Parts: sequence; C-alpha cells; structure tokens
Amino acid sequence: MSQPGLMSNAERLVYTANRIALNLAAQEPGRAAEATATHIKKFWEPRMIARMFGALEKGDVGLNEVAGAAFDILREQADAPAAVAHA
Amino acid sequence: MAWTGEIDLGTPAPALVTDKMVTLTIDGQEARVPEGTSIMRAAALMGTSIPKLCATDNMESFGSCRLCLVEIDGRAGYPASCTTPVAEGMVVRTQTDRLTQLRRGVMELYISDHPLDCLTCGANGDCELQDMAGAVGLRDVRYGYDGATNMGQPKDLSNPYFDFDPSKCIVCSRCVRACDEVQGTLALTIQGRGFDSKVSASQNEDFLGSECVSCGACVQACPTASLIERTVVEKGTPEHAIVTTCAYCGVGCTFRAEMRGEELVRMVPWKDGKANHGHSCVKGRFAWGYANHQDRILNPMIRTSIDEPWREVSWEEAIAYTASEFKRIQAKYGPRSIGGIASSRCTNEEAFLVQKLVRQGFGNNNVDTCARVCHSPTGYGLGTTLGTSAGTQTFDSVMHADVIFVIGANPTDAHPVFGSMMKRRLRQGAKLIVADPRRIDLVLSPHIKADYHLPLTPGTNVAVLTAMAHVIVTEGLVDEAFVRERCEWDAFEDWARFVSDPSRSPEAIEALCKVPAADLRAAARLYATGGNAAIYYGLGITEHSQGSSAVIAIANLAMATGNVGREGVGLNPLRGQNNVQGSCDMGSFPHEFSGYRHVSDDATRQAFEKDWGVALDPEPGLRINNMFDEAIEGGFKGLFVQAEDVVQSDPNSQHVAEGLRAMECIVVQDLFLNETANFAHVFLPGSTFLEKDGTFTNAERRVQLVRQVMSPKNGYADWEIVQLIANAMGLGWTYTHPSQVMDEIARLTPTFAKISFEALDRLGSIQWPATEANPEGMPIMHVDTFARGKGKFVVTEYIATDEKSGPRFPLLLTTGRILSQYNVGAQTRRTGNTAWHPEDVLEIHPLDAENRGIREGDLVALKSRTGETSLRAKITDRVAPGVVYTTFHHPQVLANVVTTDYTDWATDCPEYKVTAVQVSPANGPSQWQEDYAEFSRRNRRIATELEPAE
Repeated sequence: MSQPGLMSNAERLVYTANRIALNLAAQEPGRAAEATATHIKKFWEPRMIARMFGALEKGDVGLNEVAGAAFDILREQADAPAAVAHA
Repeated sequence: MAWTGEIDLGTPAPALVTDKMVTLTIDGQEARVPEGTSIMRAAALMGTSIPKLCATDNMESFGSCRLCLVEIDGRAGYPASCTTPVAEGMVVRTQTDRLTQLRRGVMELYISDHPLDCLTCGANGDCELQDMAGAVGLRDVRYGYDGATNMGQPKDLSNPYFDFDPSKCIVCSRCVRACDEVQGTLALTIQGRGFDSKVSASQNEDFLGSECVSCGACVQACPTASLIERTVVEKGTPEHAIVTTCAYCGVGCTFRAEMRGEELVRMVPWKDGKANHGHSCVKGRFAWGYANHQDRILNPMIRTSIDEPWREVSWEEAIAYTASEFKRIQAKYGPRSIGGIASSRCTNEEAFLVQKLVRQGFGNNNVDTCARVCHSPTGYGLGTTLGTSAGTQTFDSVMHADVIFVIGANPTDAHPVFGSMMKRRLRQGAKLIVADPRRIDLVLSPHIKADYHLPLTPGTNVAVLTAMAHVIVTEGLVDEAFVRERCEWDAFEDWARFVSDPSRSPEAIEALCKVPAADLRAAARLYATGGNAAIYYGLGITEHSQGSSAVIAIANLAMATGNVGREGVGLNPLRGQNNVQGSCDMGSFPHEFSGYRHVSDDATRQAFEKDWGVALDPEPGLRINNMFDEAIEGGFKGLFVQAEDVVQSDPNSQHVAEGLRAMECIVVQDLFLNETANFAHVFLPGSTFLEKDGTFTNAERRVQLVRQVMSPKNGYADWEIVQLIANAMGLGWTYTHPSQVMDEIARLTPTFAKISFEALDRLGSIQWPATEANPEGMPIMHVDTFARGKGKFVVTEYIATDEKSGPRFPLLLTTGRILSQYNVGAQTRRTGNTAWHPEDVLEIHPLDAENRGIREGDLVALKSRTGETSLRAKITDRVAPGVVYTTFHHPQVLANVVTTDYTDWATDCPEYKVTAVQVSPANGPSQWQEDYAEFSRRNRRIATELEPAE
C-alpha cells in the first residue's frame, strides 16, 4: 500500500472500505458484511460506490474479505429491479 | 466598574439551596428571604442599597471596606451586612446618624489617598467609589492630602486591553478574589500590609508577564478606575447595551455589547448568561477588534483565474458571476459537480440557508461543515449508543459532579469559562481524572491537582477506555439495576463478555499505552464508585482513526455505571466552535437533513420537498475530504465556502490545495483573504457576529440569540448574501429577517418545534429538544429513557492506527489549541491577543531535544511522511518523551502540511492527533513555506485603478 499522504483516490477508497469493515466486524461479527454495506450505502456518495464497482470489475483491488462481501451486497442491491430501503 | 443597568445584590445567593425562609425587618419593612442570605442581599432584594465597596454578588463576602455596616437590635457594635446572615425576627437599620458618621469616616480615609481627577478620569460616571462618596454624603476630607501617599505610582500598561493604575487602587481585594473565585487562576495577591498593601500580579510582575490570563474578571470587579479597559479610556463610557452571544468557542458566553452609537466600547459578560454567569475569557471580552481590522475586505471581488489579481466589483456583478458559473459547471459536469461548506461560526439560520441552497438550489447533498474535522464522531457515537448526537448535560451540571473525568480535552485553554467552573467544583472537593498525553494545566495548577493523570500514548484511547471497562465489569462495579432497566441487556452481555477478556485488562495494554496498570485500575474504580461521575471529552477523543469507537467506548462506560440522566453525570463533548453544534443540528451534513434525519428517509425528505417545492436527492453527498478527491477525479468543479478555511484547518494541506486547484469556481465568503481564498475566484465579504441577527447553539444544546449591534460594514449580513446567491439561481427566497428562517427550521425540525426568536427573547435561551412535551427545552437528556429507547452497548475492538512511528519518524505529533488564539487565528491574530502567542511553536521533551541538539527557541524542521514545515522549539516536560505538540493558529507554519489523511473509520474525521514525525534543527523555513509565502502574496493582490496621468 502507498504511504499515507501519498494514497491515490482509488487507494484511499479501498483503505477506507477496509477500515470500515475491520471496525464493524468487531462490532457485529455475525453480520459484518451487511453492516459494512449498510454503512457505505448510508455515507458514501454514489460516485464513490460506482468507482469501486468499476475498479472491482478490473480485478482485485485489495479489499479485505468483509469489505469485498459488502460490495457484493451493494452490487446485488444496485442490480435489483426495485430499490432496497436504506437502513 | 458599576453593573450598568444591572443590579448588584452584594453577595451571592446562599450556597445551600433551601426552602426554609426567614422573615426579618429592614428599615421598618418586612423582608422574607431564604435562610443563609446576607443582610446586604436581603436589603438589595427589597430595593434598599446599603453602601459597599468590597462586596459584589459574583464573589463571596469579604467584609473589608467597612462601609456596609448596619445596626441590629440586640447586637452590639455595627456588623458588616455583607458577612452577617439574616435571622428570624431580626430588626435591622441601614441608615442612622451613627452609621452615616462611620461611613463618612471610612470614605474620608479612602479619598485622602486617592487622586481627585474625577472629571478627566476614564471611569467618570462609572465609578463605585464616586457613587459611594455621593451615597454617604461626603463633603470634606479632614485628613488633608499632605503626608505619605500611594499616588504617583507607575501604571502597568503591559496588557494590550486594560491598564492598571495602582494610584487609584483602594485595596478592596475584589480583583484578587475575582481571579481566585471566578477565574481560578490565582494570579493576583495583595502584597505588603497596611499602608504598603498593593495589588501584585504573580511575583510582583507586570500583568502581561505574569500568570494572568487576561480574562478581565478583575477589571470587571474593580470599583474604581484602577483596572480599566483601554477602550473606555479612549472612547468614553458607553451609553447603551445590547445582549448578544460570543462568536468564539462552544461555551457560548453571552455579553452586553456596550456601545456609543454604533461603536462598540466594551463587551461585558452578561450576569444572566446561562452558560457563563457573568464571566468570560480574553477572547470574548477583548478580542473583537478584528471587526475593524485593516485586513478586512469590504467589497466583493472576482477573478477568472487564481493567477490574476483580484478585481473589486459590485455586489450585483459578483453574485451574477457566482450564479452563472455554478450553472455553467452543472451544465457541463452534471448536477453533482458543485457543493457548499457551511460555517460553524455563522448562525443557525445561515447554516440552514447554505444547506437549503445546496439541496434546493444545487439539487444535490454536497454540503458539509467543519464538524467533519472535529466532532463528527460524537454525532456517530452518541447517535448509535444513546440515540441523539449531542451532549447530555448543562455546564452547570459539573457543580454536582463528584468525579470529573477529562479525556482528550483541555478546557482551561479551549473552553476557558467552563474550565473556570470546573476548577471551582474541583476546589470544592470533586475528584479529577485526566487522560491526556500532555500534562495540561488541569493536571497541576494552583489549588488543582488531578487524582490520576493517565498520559496515554496518542492513538490508544480505545484500548485505555476498554481497559477501564474491563475493570468495571470484572470487579463487579456495573450498576446492574440501571443497565437492566435502561439498556438493551443482550447487547450489554455481549459487550461485558468482550471487555472481560484478559487481553483487554490494564496490565495487558500497559506496554502499548504507557499508562501504569495500577493507575488505570484506580481511575476506573474511582469513576465507577466515586458518586456522580461525569465525562468531558474533546478532539483528543474524536480526531483519531477510531474516533467514533472512542466515543462509543465512553458512552459504554457511562451506561455501565449508571452515570447518565441526572445532574452531575453524563457525556459532555466540548464542542469547539461557537456554532458547530448548531451547524450540525441544521443539517449541514451530506447525509442528513436538520435534526439528524437521513436524506433517504422518505417521510423527512417529503416534508422538505413539500415546503421547498422541489424534488430532493435521496442519496448522500460528498464530505469535505471527498470533495477534494472528486475534484481531482474531475467530477467536482464548483464550491461555495462560507467562513471556513479548509486549506489551513484540514489535514494534508497539499492534498487540499490540489483539490482546490482542480476546481473551476471557488466562492469564498469570509471577513479576510484567508488561505482558501488564495485558490478562489469569487470573494464575498462577510459580516461579523456584531453585524447580524441570528442564533448560535453552544455545546449544551443551548440556542441563544445573536443580536445586531452595528450595521454590517460590508453591506449585508451573511444570511442576506446566501439569499442573494439563491435568488440569482432562481430560488425566489423572500426572507426579510432571520427569525423567519428559524420559524422554517421549527416547522421542519421536530427537536426545534418550539424554538422561535420570541421564545428565545422571553426565556433567554432554550436547550433543544424543545417540543410540545418540553416547550422550554430539556437541560438534562435521557432522564427516564434514552432518545433511542434503550441504551445500546457496542463492542469497541482496539484497532491500531496505520500511522506508525519508526526509525525515520520516531516521534508522535499531536496538535491542539491555546487560550489566546482561536482555531486558524483569522480573528485572534488580528487583535491584541498576538501578545501572548505570536507564532505556533513545537513543544518537545528535554530528552528528545537534547538527543537532537535542539535548544529553547531554535528553529526546527518538523517532518512527516506527508510534508515538512519549520517552527520554533519550546522545550518542556509537559509532553512525554516521544511526543511533540503544536498548535495550528498561524498560516506561516501551516501545521497541517504534516498531518496525514488517515481518518476516523465512520465519519472521516481526520486523525490530527497522531502523526509520526521527525524533528531536527533547521536553518530557515522549509522550501514549501517559502514557496507558499510567495504564492500567498501573489494571490492576495487586489488590482487598483491607476489614476490618469496629469
């Protein structure tokens, strides 16, 4: 990972997602991915989520397991025919 | 000074609140007062003024001046009415021939050694000595004026705001007692005895060089012109006053702005101020001269490129250019390509209008406020655990605390008036725990000593707080009855199981946090068993990568020990700015409307849509740091910044600058050309708090009126400027007064439902929530139930920051504030306060300094992985070895050039408090500083019209 202060925007998004996942995994170990997805949906601007989707389509960006699962959930929600209610 | 327009009752109300009343007779009239009231106060309450000089009702009685003598039936002599409590059936006479004779004799003694220059004295008409001479009917001084005298002593003019003339001192000791009892600094004393008695600052030093913190309590208390504001000497005594609220810190002191016409003469703390009770600090009382500073910009300016000088234009042209640019950018880059930053120093009404401009006008949720970089974790943490995003108590609540736990806060510097109140409670015997990497003043100062100082390593808050929880749970100190009744039991059990693990004990984390396990255990036991225990915390908790987790951990401790929901306990976030609480309340966040309701909540959003007549975006917008990222990505190109200096105050200044450079139109509304204005294309001159009406909300959730005392020098109040922009963008706003904005806020925000300017005027202030059930507000929250119903315990696993010290960067930098300066210093640097802190310095431990060959005052390079700056060293053992500290008040140092962009996981609040650095001797400013100084000079140029040649 690049050094702090020198992270690119893309690296910073991944780093932030991983930190959210780490902290929420400790808080809610039974539903860490769902909690992470909910948090991201609640606080991230749509373009930030779209940018992550775009990066993930190109390959592994370094998300940890929980964060990766969270974005899988967000992808499903985005692709779902009807909007899912926000938490 | 005399309490102009306010009645001085002579002595405070009885310390012990009682229902027991005493009936006595004063000058033939029956009086009925609470037991413990002094005769002087009882007389004043019935409208009888007993002459006095040493007594005043914000300090304990002293009995030294001997003017207030009275006659009491059945008692010998002539007792002092200030020190004599009432008794049932007492018969008192306040005016008799003998008393008159005695009082005149006292006054003759005073006047025999006092200058007789009343007509040219600065206190003429505002002097209690003058008043008493009249009150006792003094006509001559039989002693004459020959012989030894204390007149002709040199004045102390060292303080930038007030003069001390010992010749006019009557040694009433009011100033000494004010410094002791009100401020708690104990900087003054009476040196010598008898005729040689004189007021002395510290060890007979001048005021500026002494321990005096220039709060002005002594000046306010002085009954003569001995201590007097320089502005009164220069301008004359004021002729009218308007009560308003301070625009500095989150205490929210209220003042009488004392005026001569539209000119401010002095700010006098308002006795009835519910937050400050007649006290203030150096900033609120004295540091208002920035409003007239030569740097202040009064005319709008625009430029198409930041490389050009500014061009002064009319308001019409500036507003039209702003609107056209924002529309052009949205047409080209999309509706989410512009946004706004609301100010935490402007009023509630102004913050509400900025977020309305963004939501209704720009059509997105790209609005944020500086709470992002300070207390956003408080909103998240308290919202998660208790259900509401604010502190739970009043400031007065501290006077009922038995144990005060201060963590990550320095109230004597950053919230001075509240710090004085806290010290008063500590002097009464409350216990104190301080958790801070530095030995802040609260740890050890006159009459104050922390029972436990926990000098934890920066970045280990969550580990330390969890270890305290470990002690409380494993030693059986949980208030189980409270938890069972008031909290979710299952969540508590999960949390209790988590904290009980031996890996979370004080012993297990001692090597990590550097806090002796025995001290941590003892502190935890004291918090849990010492009686009413209150936690006060600040940015040392929130500005970390686990800031939200730390707030949650604090809430867990309070709930586990039952320290919520009554006086003397609670969770007290010390909000830094005058209206950062209000700015948050007003929905200045990209994910929330006013009242902390998510933008995706259909019912809330529809209510706003109906009121505002437009469809609103249900998706969260960009936070401040995301705005810079998105700008670099090419998707965010326009920004309106109201009274916020992101270049100086946000972390990783170079990244902020890069983001701003990538934008096409930055509109800055401010008083001065600040660092952010270097990157701006439109400058709209703002108004000060003296020049507008509105409200601020302090750290107690207390909404108070800001009243206009003079016309805005720039032509418009800040809220009017936002309306101009809104209407140029076609929104058709028709506000004529901020009270209408508050009415709209009340209509749309349930917690503000009963707040109006009329109610605020009538009640003085209102602490939200103010609803049908509590129309006059709610001082203490969560009394019967938590705002969310049951309190929620949340596990807080310690996850270390990724900002690590190592061989290249072996020290940890933490940053903070100092008493005399305020935030980025835009205001205070333009006042006499520069006398105390003309530059930011680096505090470094003697061992670390010696290892680097650094001496006191040396210029040093402060370098991190992010950047480098230079500043002077101050060698002190207030910081532990391995920790360095600086402030961020001066743009020449721009301390945030070294801070990282690591942030709190939940809110993106920057981790200002943990930066790995190296410090080394320097022989000049860093290259970056030199380059920036030139850049700044160039970008502040204002084009002027050349006079045509003759």
